[in-house]
Amino acid sequence: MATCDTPPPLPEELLVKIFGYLNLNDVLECSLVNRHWYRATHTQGLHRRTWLRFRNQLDLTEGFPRVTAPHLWAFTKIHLQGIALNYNEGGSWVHMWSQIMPRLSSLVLEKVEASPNDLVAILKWGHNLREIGLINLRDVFMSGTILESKLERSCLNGVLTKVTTLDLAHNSFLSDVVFERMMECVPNLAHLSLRKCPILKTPMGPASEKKPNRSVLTFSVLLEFIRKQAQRLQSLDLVDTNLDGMRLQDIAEVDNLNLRTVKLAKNPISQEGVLHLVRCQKSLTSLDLDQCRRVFLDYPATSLQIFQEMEQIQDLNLRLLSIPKGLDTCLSKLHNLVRLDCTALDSSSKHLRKGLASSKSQKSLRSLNVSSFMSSPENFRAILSLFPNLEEFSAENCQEAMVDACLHTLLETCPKIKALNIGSCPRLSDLGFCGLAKVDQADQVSFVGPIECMKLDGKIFLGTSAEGEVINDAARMSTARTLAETCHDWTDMAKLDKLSHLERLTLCNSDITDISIQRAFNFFCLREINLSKCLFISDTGFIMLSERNPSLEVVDISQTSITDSGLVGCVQALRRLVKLNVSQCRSLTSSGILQLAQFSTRLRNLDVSLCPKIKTETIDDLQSRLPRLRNVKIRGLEILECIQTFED
Amino acid sequence: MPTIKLQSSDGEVFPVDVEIAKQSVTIKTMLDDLGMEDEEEEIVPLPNVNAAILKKVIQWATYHKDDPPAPEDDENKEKRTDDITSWDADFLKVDQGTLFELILASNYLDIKGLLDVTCKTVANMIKGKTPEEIRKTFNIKNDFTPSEEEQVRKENEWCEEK
Repeated sequence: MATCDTPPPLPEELLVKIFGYLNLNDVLECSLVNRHWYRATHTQGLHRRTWLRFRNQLDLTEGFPRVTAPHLWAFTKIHLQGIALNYNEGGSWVHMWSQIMPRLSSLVLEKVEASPNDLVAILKWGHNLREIGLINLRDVFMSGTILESKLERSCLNGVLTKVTTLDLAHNSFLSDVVFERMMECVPNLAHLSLRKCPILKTPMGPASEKKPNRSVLTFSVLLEFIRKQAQRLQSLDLVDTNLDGMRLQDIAEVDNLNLRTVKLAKNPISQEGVLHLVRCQKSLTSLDLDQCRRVFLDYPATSLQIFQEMEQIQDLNLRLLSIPKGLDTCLSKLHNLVRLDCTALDSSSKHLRKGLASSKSQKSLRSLNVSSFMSSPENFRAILSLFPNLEEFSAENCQEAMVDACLHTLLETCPKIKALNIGSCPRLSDLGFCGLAKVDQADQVSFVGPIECMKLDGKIFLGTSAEGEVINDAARMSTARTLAETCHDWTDMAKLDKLSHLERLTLCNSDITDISIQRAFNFFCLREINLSKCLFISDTGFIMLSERNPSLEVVDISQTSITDSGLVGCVQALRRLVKLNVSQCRSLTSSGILQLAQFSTRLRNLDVSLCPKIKTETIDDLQSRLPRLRNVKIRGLEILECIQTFED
Repeated sequence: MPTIKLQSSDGEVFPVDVEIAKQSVTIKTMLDDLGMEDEEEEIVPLPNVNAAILKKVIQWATYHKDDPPAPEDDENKEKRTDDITSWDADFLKVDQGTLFELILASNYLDIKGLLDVTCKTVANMIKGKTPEEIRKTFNIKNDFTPSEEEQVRKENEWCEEK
C-alpha cells in the first residue's frame, strides 16, 4: 500500500500556481518543505510580488550580510531602509550592483546614507526598473549637486525608460533645479509622489521671468512638469505639500491631463479647487481629501456639485472633514464606490445612512470606515445591512453607536469581512461576541434610576444626563456579564467566528472577557489581533486564544494584565509570531520574556516599553538568541531601572 | 446529444456527452484538430488518467457543464481562495493523494475550472501550517540536510511583503 500513501509529486508549475494563492509568509513556510518545493518558491512569478528588505544599521559597505544564496538575487524588488551605502566606484561593489540592478523592477532607498554620485552610478544599471523610491534622502539632495552633468542625465534618460513610478516623499531638500534634473531622467513617468515635500507658492509671473530656484521646490516648476508630462501622468500624491485651491485649479486645467488618482490630504485646498479638479479630471477614480478641512465647509450647493462630478469615483477619503449640510444628497450621487473613509467626519449619521442607501454602491462597496463617527445604533445597523460585500469595516471609537445588536447585524449581513476594527466601543459585550439571543434582554433591562443608584453608593451626583448614561452603561455591562456567565445555551445566534474570512481584528480597549475567547474566537486565517487594554482577559483567555488561532502572526496585548505564565502559554502555541507588543504589561518579568527565545524563532518586532520588571540586559540576551529580532522597543526600561536602583 | 468514449490509463471506457467532454481543452483540441467528432465509435485514450480519477473528473464536468468559462488569470488581481462553492467543497472532500491526482489530471486535460478549485483547496490546506505540518498533511519527505534547512531559513529572513 506504500505506493498509495505517497501522492505523486506535483510539477513545479502547479506548485507555483498553488503558491500564487498564498501570502508571503505561507510561501516561505513552503520553501522549507523539501528541495523540490524550495525550487518552486523561487520563481519569477513569486519574486515579482515579494520585497527583499534590508533595514537599520546594517553596514552595506562590506556587502549584503549573510545573503549569499544565488536564489535571493532572483528577487526583483529591493527596499533598503536606514542603512549606509557606499558604492565605491572601481571597488568590488561595482560588480555586485552591476549584477543586481539589471534584474530589479523596483528599488526603494529610504533614509539611506549615500552620496549623489553613488546613487547615479547605481541607477545607471537599472534599465529594467519600473519603480523607484528615493525617500527621505537627505545626503543625496541636500547639496543640490546631483545630476549636474548633462551627460549623466542623458545617460539615465536612455536607461530608465521603463520607470513609470517615482516616489520622492519626505525630501525637504528637493529644489527646483534638482527636481527638473530628476524628471529629465524618467521620460515615461506616470505616477509621481511628492508627499511631504514642501512646495513653495511663487507668484505666477510671465513664463520668461520664471527661473528654477536652487534652494527650494516651487509650484511653478511642478506645474511646468505636469504640463510637459500631461499625456502620461496618471497619479499624483501631493499629501502635505502646502498646496492651495488656486494651485489645484491650475493643475486640474492642464490640457490633455487625465489623472486617475489624486492624493491631497493635509493641504489647505478650497471648495473651488476640488470642484475644478473633479470637473476637469473626468477619469479620476481615487481621491484622498483627508483633513482638507475647508473643502465642504462653505457652500452646500457647491459641495453637491463636487459630488455630482464624482460619479466615477471608487475610492474616496473624507477623513476628518466637515459636511454640515446635505451629506445625504451628496453621497447619493456616488454609484461606484469601492472604498469609503468617513473617519471622524463631522455630519449626521442619519444623512450618512440616507446617502449610502440611495447611492448605487451597495454591491460594489468593499471597505467602509466610520471610526469616531457620531451615530445612533439604529443608523449603524441600517448602514451595515446595506453592504453585503463588505470586506473591511472599521468603527473604532464609536462609543454610543456600536452596540451588541450592531455586531449581530454585521455578523448576519457581512459574511465576507476580512478586517474588522471595533476597538474602543465600550458598549460591546460578551453577549454580542458570543451571539447570545439575550442581547436584547440586556438592552431592555430597566436599571435603577440614576439618582437612586448614586444615592445607594453614597456618592455625589450632579444630575446631568451624561452621568445617568454612564451609570446605565455600567449597569448594562454588568448585567450582560452576569447573563454571559450564567448562560448555558449558546447556540442561538451567530458568533464572532462566523466571520470565517477574518484576517485582522482590532478589539482594543473593550470589555471582552475569557467567555468570548472561549466561545467565539476560532478563526481559520486570523493573522493579526489587537487586544490592547482589554483588562478583563486573563492568562487563561490569552492561552485559549493562542491555541485556537495558531495562524496569528501579529499580536498586540499591550496594557493588559497578562503574566509570565500566560505569555509562555501564548508563545508556545503561536509558532508563527512575527510581531509582539506587550508594552506596559506591568506583571511581565525578565524570566517570562526570555522564554521567547525558545519558542518565537520568527519574531522580528518586539515592544516591551514601560514594563517595569523587564531588564535591558534581558533584551540584549534575547536579541543575541533570536537572530531575526531586529526591531525592539524598550522605551522607558532604562529609566525604570535607574529609579529602581535609586529606591533600593 | 453526441457522445464520445474516453478510455482511462487502466483500460476502462467511459461514454461522455461531447459537450461535457469539451470542457477539457485537451479533448476539445483533439476533436477539432482530428475531426474525430463524426466518428461515433472512436475511443479517445487518456494515458495519464486512471479510471477512478477520470470518473471524478467526469462527475465534476457534468455538474459544471453550464458554467461560464473560467476567467483568465490576472497577475495583479488578488487571488482569493474563499470562493469555493459548497458543491465543489464537498466534491473535493477526498484524501490528499486523490486531490493531487485530480490536479494533475485537470492540468493534463486542461480544465481550468477544476484546476483552479483543486489548487485553491490545496492552498487552503497549506495556510497557517508549519513546514513539518505541511509535510505531514501531504505525506512529503524532507530531503534537506539540517545545514541546508538553516540556510533557507536565513534567506527567508530578508523577504517581506509590502
